[in-house]
Amino acid sequence: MLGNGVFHGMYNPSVVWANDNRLLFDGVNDYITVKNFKDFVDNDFADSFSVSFWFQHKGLVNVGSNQTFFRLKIGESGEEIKVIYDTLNAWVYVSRDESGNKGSVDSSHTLALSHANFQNQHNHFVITMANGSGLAGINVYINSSDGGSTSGTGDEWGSIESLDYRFTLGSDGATKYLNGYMNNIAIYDRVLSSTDVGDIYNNGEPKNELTNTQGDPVIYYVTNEKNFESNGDHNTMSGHTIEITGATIEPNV
Amino acid sequence: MSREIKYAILKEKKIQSIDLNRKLGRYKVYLTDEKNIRYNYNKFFFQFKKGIIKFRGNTPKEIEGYTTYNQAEILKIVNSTWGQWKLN
Repeated sequence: MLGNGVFHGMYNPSVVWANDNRLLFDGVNDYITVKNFKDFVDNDFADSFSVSFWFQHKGLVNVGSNQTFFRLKIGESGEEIKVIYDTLNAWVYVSRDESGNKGSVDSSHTLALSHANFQNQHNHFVITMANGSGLAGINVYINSSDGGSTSGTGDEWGSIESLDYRFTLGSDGATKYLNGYMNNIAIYDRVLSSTDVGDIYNNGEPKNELTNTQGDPVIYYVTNEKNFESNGDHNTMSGHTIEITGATIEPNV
Repeated sequence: MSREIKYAILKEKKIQSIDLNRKLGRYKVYLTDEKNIRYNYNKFFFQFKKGIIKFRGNTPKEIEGYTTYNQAEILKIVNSTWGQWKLN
């Protein structure tokens, strides 16, 4: 495990985005979902997957409530797995309890950035979800640094084929909404290795078309639309559909 | 025309009377739909249930006269300890 929960990644501030826009989550009620995610689970994700995106916080980072990067709800009344962004402490942590609290999570599995890093630049996040014997666990990378997998053995969240999965970025479905810019969202049908993550991170210069060497994402979305109409269904570069609810498309600056 | 995003807090009945899918030219007037309206769930018994709607640019005609908020102002409200603004 790298870092023992401490951020060590270096960020190249000279990000060059080939596309002109990015998604703005307002912290009030914006989120995106992958349509028919259960179908992806059934057809593509044998038992594990990974999510990659770039994020820059908007507004003051050391005030307000916690925010949600990622939520996977399993079944109507099943477990919720969330990756939460604690704006007060500039921490990112994994939660498995319904309230999204940090209580059940080992502090060594918390990743920290400085407030300045969160606020002033895009950072690259990868969340890996491993299911199955010997693999179970959740890991979060920030700018290719590894936070260390949360502990877990066996099928921690049940048989993936038989359950209804709901996949959301930007909301916990209740009160913790993301406030900031997201771009280049990609979902992979396997647990990315640290080498894969390093390739995607590419020393802080996001690539707008990922090749096989970066893991061949099943779903890949860049905000290349030229207008402000962002609500509704959007086709990804890989032909799948995500639904944008409230989040707006804004120019990169 | 200003492209600034603004918010308004409206009674549930008022929200139900609005066509959230209405378009002005090629753009939707409202950036909120039924799926992401947050309502106040911690209201006192004598208060009305209210929700937050979002729009870009000039205030739509059907909600003219209502107080509007910018993002920083609405974030203060939803992050306050009262209200418990949640999805419906």
